Amino acid sequence: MSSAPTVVIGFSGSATIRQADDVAHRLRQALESSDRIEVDCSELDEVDVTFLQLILAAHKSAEADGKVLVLSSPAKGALLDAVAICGAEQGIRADFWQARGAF
Amino acid sequence: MAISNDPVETFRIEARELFEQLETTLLDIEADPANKDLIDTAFRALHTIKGSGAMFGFDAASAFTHHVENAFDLVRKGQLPVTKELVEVALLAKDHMRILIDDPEAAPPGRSEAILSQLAAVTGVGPVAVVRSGGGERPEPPSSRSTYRIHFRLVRNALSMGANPLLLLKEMREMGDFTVVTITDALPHLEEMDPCGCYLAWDCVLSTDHPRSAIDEVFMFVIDDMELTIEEIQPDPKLLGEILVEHHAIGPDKVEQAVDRQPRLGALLVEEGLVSHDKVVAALAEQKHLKGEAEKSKKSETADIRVQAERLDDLMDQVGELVIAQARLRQLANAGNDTHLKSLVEEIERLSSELRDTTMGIRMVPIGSLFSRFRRLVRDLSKELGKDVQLTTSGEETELDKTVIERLHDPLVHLIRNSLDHGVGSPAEREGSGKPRQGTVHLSATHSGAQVLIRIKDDGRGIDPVKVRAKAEETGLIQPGADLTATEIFQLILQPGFSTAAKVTSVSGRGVGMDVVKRSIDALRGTIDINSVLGEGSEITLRLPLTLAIIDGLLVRVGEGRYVIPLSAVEECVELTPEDDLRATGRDFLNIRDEVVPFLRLKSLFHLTTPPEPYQKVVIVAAGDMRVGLVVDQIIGDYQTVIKSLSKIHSAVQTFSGATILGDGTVALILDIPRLIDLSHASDSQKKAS
Repeated sequence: MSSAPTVVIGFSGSATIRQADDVAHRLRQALESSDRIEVDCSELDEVDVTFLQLILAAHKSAEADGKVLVLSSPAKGALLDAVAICGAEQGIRADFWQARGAF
Repeated sequence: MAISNDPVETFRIEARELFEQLETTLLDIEADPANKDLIDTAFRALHTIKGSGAMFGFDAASAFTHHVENAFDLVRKGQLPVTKELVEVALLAKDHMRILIDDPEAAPPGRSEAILSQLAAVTGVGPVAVVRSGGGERPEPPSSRSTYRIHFRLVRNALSMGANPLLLLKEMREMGDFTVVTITDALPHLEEMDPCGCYLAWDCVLSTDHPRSAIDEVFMFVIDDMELTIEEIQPDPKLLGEILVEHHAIGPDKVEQAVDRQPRLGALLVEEGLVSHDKVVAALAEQKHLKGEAEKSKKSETADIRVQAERLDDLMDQVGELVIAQARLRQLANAGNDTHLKSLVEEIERLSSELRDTTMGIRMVPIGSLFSRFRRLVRDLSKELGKDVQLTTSGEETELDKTVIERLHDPLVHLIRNSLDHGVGSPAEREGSGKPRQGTVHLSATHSGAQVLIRIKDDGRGIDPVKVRAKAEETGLIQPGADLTATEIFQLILQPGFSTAAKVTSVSGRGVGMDVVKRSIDALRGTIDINSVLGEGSEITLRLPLTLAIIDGLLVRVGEGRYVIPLSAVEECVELTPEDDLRATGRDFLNIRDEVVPFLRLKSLFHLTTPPEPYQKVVIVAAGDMRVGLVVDQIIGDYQTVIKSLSKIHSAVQTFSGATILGDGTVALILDIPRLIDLSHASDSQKKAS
């Protein structure tokens, strides 16, 4: 592990298709700036499928580059609802949404 | 009973079950308003009542139910909160639906409208127009449950066009049991990704009562250009490989190759890069879903065989005859020396005894169905009386003969009413005596040998023996100053015309009730024990025989006659030595392991004049806490006893509960043990008094 500090990025309020470009931009920046990224979703009130895709894609990119991207706390509220509807709270990414593992 | 080839009758029977289920569910909802499963169950029950009601021509019931179903649909969708008022009106509506289906003519006019306006007040939604049958369209009959495999992927720009796959998934989830796995294969790395594109796909399995068209409707607005397959599948749990092949994720040959390298097919296929991890997860999820469905349908297959009660009664009668014939066969075989015949008789004896047990088992019903009916009673009654009472139950799984269960309903209603009316005080009164405001009535059932004990226990005021005594003296039930134990005093409550309630309420206190309870329990060959601590509560225990038809008995001889003692009552047999016999004359007591046990000479009780035989035996029997010895001439042995009731002419005979036919065709009377014990204690008291 490199000694670069963990970057924490937080999203709050809405993270829907309207904010998708911004979310993507911030995730890309974070991935470029550090090997360890922690995403804080605890302040989110509204998410749609674009946000799930972006987080999963960021996770995929991070893994491919040998980096680590985790949630700072288990998914809850609007995010957990969206994850549950997609059936993702079980299966291979269950640990990811539960903020388990990594670090 | 009319054979239920009549579909309407069959529907009524099914509806009755639905109503019971609905009532239980509504009461559960009241206790746990946040439970979504319960809401769904209530909604489904209403939906079925509406749909099948219309099919069988109960248009009024169907139209009425439609409104209630609508209300629960709103609750299900989270648009209407669960309130006490809603449950209240739903319970009223349920009662009304039941009348509309059982006897539409008897429904009070205007009742439907009254309940619906009450419902509208709760939901804030005006009555919705209903399509009446006869006016063309009938409500869609409930289609049978099917399982569909649904795969969909939206076009890349669908999200920008306003599509929301989460809503589609949510809609399908509400249609039934739903399993979904998100397929992320097409998801690119973040750098290459259009943040607003749609990259995910979903593999779903849905088991639903809704028709296929309902699923099509979900996708109605996004169907253009999307990837969508909907196929019906059979809920046989399939092998993982089969599912993957059906999903066109992999060819069958590749699967076979991989299967050769067991054990973990999924992991291997992924490792080989033949199939994506998501696809395997989706297939595994589908496998699990189908397994669940298959189990569900298996359960309903085994749980639902409807048999007419009469047929079971006939079967029991025939088994009874068989047992009698087998007893005669045994007698014949024992008279001769044919060992082959004897071993065959033993075989038949074993089989008939097993057949007897199985037949009795078929007639056994868990008492829980009876208990759950009282929840509503307690709820409504405590409201009416301004009390706060909760009913707790235990031992619901205890099984009893169905006839016994049916005949227990009324006595239990009486007893529970008594507990609520006389036992549990008002919240204020309870607080004053240092108890929680909410009173508890506990209903329990347990096995105890060949008997079932049903207890009704409350934490109320208890029974005041002084008051009971005063009342009994006043009404002339007992002599003033009679020497009675607390138990004996409590038993006085069961006498006809006895009531200590100072004021008569709509519930109880009219002096009928407890004696009716006693008569019903007597008719079931049961007994009632009453226990109470003043200020702490009372406990009433009903002891009931497991079955009314065949019992294990002990065959004894007194003089020339033979009698059956129910084996469940027998504790032990001892010899009555001539010394004991002589010493006991006048005061019939035996000393059994330092305990004094009174005994009855059946010979003198039955007014037999034959001289006493040299080796008399005493059969010690027990009922409740009391033990009594019965002096007999000979103990013949155990005997499967088919109980035949005595004719009306003999109904006044107190010491016998019935008769049975022996192997040689003669009749043996069955001793009524609780009565004999009462008799013995009565004669004791007389002797003490003289």
